[in-house]
Amino acid sequence: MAESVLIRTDNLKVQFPSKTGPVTAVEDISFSVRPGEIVCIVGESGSGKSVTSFSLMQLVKFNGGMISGGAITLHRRDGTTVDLRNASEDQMRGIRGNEIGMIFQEPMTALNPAFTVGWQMAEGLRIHMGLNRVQADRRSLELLRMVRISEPENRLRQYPHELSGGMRQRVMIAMALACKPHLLIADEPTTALDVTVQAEILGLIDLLREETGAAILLITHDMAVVAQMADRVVVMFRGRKVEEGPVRRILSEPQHEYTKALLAAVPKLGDMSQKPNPEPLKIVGERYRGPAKPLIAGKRQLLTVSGLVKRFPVRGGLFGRTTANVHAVENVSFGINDNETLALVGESGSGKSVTGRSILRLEEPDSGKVEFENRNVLALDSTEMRDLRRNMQMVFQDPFGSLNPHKQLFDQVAEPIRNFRLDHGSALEDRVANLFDRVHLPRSFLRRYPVELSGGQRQRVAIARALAPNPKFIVADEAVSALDVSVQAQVLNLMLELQADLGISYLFISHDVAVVERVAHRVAVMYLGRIVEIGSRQDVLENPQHGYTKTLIAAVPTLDPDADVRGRVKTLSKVPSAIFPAGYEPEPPEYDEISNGHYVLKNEKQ
Amino acid sequence: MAYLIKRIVNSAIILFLTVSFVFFAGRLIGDPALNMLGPGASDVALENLRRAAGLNDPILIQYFRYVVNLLSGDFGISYRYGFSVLPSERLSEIGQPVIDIVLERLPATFFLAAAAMGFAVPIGVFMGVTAAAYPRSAADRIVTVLSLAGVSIVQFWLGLMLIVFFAVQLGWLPTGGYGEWQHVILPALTLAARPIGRIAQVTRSAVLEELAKPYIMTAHAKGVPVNRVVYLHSLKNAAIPIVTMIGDELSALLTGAILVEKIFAWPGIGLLIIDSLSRSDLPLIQASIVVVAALVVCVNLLVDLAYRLLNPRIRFGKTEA
Amino acid sequence: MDTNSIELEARKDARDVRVTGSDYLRAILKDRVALAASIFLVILVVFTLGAEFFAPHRPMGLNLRDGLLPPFSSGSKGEFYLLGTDELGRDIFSRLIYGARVSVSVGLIGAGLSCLLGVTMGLTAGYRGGLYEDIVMRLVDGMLSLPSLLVALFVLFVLGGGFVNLILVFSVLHWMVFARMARGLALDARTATYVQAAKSLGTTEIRIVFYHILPNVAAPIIVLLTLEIAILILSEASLSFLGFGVQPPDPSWGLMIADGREHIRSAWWLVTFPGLAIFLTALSLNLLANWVRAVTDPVQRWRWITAS
Repeated sequence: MAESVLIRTDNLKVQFPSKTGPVTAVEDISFSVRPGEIVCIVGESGSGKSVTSFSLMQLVKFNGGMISGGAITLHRRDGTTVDLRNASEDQMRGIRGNEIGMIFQEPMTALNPAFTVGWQMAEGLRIHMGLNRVQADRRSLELLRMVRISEPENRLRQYPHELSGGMRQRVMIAMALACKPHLLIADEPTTALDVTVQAEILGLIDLLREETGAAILLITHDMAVVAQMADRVVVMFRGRKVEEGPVRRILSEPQHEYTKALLAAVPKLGDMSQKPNPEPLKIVGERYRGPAKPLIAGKRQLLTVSGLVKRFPVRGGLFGRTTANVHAVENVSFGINDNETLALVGESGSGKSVTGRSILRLEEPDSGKVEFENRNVLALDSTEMRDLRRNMQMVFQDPFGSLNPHKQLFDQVAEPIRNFRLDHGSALEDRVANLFDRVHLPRSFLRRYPVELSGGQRQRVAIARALAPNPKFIVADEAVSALDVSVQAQVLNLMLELQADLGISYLFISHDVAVVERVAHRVAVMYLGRIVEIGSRQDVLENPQHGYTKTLIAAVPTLDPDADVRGRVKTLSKVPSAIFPAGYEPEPPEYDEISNGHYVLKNEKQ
Repeated sequence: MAYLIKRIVNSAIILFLTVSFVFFAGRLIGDPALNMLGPGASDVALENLRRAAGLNDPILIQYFRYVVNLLSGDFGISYRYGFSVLPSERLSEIGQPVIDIVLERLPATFFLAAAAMGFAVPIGVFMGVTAAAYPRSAADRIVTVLSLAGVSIVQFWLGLMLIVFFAVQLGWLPTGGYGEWQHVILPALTLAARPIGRIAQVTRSAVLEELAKPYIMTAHAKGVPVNRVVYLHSLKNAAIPIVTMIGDELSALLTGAILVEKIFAWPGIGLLIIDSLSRSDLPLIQASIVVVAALVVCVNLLVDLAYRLLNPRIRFGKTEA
Repeated sequence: MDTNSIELEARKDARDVRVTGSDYLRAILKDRVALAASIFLVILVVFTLGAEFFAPHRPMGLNLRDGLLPPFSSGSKGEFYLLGTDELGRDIFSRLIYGARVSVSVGLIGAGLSCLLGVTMGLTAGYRGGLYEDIVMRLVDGMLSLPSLLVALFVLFVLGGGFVNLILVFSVLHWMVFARMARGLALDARTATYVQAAKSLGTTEIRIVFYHILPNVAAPIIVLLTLEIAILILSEASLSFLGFGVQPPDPSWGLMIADGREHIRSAWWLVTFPGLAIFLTALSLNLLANWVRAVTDPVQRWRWITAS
């Protein structure tokens, strides 16, 4: 078995036509997958990893691409081999979904919203295996049980929008496995999912490999996913394969500079275990500067949040009355000192972003108190609030959306300076130029438009803009989540550098525990609108007390290939939610103080 | 369900406002009695009519009476149809109720609208899907220009041109009239041009948008034939804007057929409106407008129901986020 | 990677990548259909403004001896009639040029007023929200569900036709489409991250609406305005044809078709040319709107500017 090969590409080249001539997306890609093996293709955006995976079944042509070189050899079920590059559309249809199954990144949009789950699952079975409706339904049920979905009979009749993200991805997997393919291609199958759900799905994929014997080609940007899943790894960079090998060798002795850089840029949970203060990441190729001075948090309380509540009404009934409330933020209290970073960590729907936005009053909280330098923020009128925004700034998650596409970068960064009339004329120009220096952007960018920049560059502009009025406090709402890991490391280092030089406090909102460990002095874990645990970073991450904190930390994939992934598979049923009937008032949270400043929620909501 | 009730209440309000508008605007033209009896009427006859029709009452009372009568299906008596100068007390016995006249004309208009949509929907959808399946191809460009031509053409002019060519020059079809199947072809073609264009445009952009979505790739990866992906997977999701457009165009056909009916002497409600306008037959005009508005409101409600069938997300409840 | 690409990009001149006016110019020169449409519209506007200069004959000049002459014929005094004459011997080509003045200005002014009214209502409704938005949008929905041609006919029947009434009726009956679109755009913009960011930077509300939001929503509104001009030119023709629009002896394209209708069997040119003029004008506007939409679409823009 070990010597046989299921699918092999040789010198694969894919191009996309453009009016200025064909643009080469990937070139000279050769790798193979053996039966029953998990091969990971890893790379950042623009590496061509997805194009490669889409080429195997000629799917790339539906995106306008063409396979212009190389060969893709598939060993078929019947023992023959076929070159998928030159296979006819008829031949391909018999292979797609039948001998090769595929799952995609976006479980929210990869299922057709207009058809039931059962219909979509049955479609492939009817096309490839000629089953009638009853037989197809029976097989679909079997498949849904295999991917451990609760109440599979009901699921068949449901539409995709009625399922959670994790359930949809399970349906996708079931659909891809419907005709017992020998190869499953998974394109970033867990990227859009919460980390606890990701752990379950990865565990499930691993389990199914054993149960079905299918080989798996897993495309990912996440080195930790690679470490957990792969037998062998193909590393891609800018359309080419830079390295290939067994997972242990790639992780322990990477050969290529890029692989080394990529591995170094990944924040690893546990790296900071003996260090009380945040430290920049080491970036390969840059001289390691080390902490210029230790990032020690101040002692003066800058911001105090107490009893913050924000609920969103769910309307229904005849007259659009509020029938229920989403308790997005439920009685949240914390403080931040000067020169300190507090990380709010939690999964989607935990209320961490709403908390950050409520502090800046981009969202009007329902009740609670926010004090900034002893001023009651929630009681300020709109003029006073505007003034206060000089000192409280925000960096948003989406660097593509947070800049106005029609304005030059100079004007965008100058905006707060003009708003507060801090400088004008040549002083303004100097100030903006200095800000560009500050975030390591060339001054030639001043007259450019956002569309001309990469994601990382845009996020630097957004940071420069937030710095412009010399704020004391910045809310960073998932500020590095949309960035590639190597870019993420640079932006994180920039934020730490600015804190060391300017003494800024951050409220660092993130879903990524490993990143949080790198930057935070203190950590607050949010779950369904509440802080379940808060304390110093070392206390919370190294000595977690609350059940949810433990689950969250356990779910973080590590670079250790020996970690157990299957233990996390469980049957997915109801997703817990923070929706309560109108008028429901949960009891106020009570906390146990485990040690100095380390609090754990005592009473659960339900 | 709650949403449906809300929609019906909304529609009722719209109809009520239309009725009010029609009533008060009608009074702006001048003395209804004079209008009814003509300039040659004697003062006595005018005064008799006013008294009999309650035209001396305060305007709000008259308005109230008008609305109440409407609710019982009484839209008033035509000034012109089946009416000559008579003692006004006997007006209601001799004059023809306008609602009867209007309802008599409805079938012809429905028939014409159905025939036009029968041409327009399949042709428009097919053109749009073809263009979307091959974006920026020659077929796409042709569909774009043709569909823009369809919405740019003046309908009554197109009708006249078709008459000149097919009826006058070639003599294949009648120039106008009603009754035989040959009569419906030219007016239906004339009316179909615009809906074909608009349906093709909307279908093209909606299908194009759907074809770029990830679920399309899922379908390809399952081995679903390309035609099935385009015509089933994407078209069902693109259906909502298309159905909206079909509804809009159907409403437009019920009202916009006025000119085409006139040109082809098609005895529908449009021709009736033109005739009653030229005869200043106010009750008839008012009734026609209210009936057509009611039809349009019904079409809109049907479109809304169609949404529910087409989009499971709407069907199962949440109307607002 | 990021630092490398910063250096790489820093060397490139920013002007290479940005879309400027000359890029649009170059793009339209490459698109033959859009180019033809804009040339036609330019000629139309020039003719409309300089009708006295361009028209070979007086539009109302009776000349009964030269009645119903076909196109390309010479009159009794040797005058040349490019597109023929009507039954009163008036030159069709000259009347078309003068008629353009009426038809085009009804379209332009009517659509312009609707746009002004609708965009103001819609932008403020979408950005402010609340009860005001509710009332405006109820009004919009209600009025949109009325049969507009019929209501226009009825109002003109009550008020009487004519240029000014026509424009008034159009403005009152067409502002809703602009309001609905502007409101939708403002609603999207209100939640857009760049607007949230501007708010967090201490930008005032007025500056947010007019400095940040307006440039971002201008393109679709311009497209709609172009389409509405075409629609109003068509509606004007219909209403004038029925006798409720522009009143004779003013020449308008719709009226010319109505006048020619009785001679349709003998003198085809009376009906054909004014209809063709309306068709070409509306088609050009539609083609241009289509092009503007494609070129300003942030997703498609780059493809259209760089390609084709």
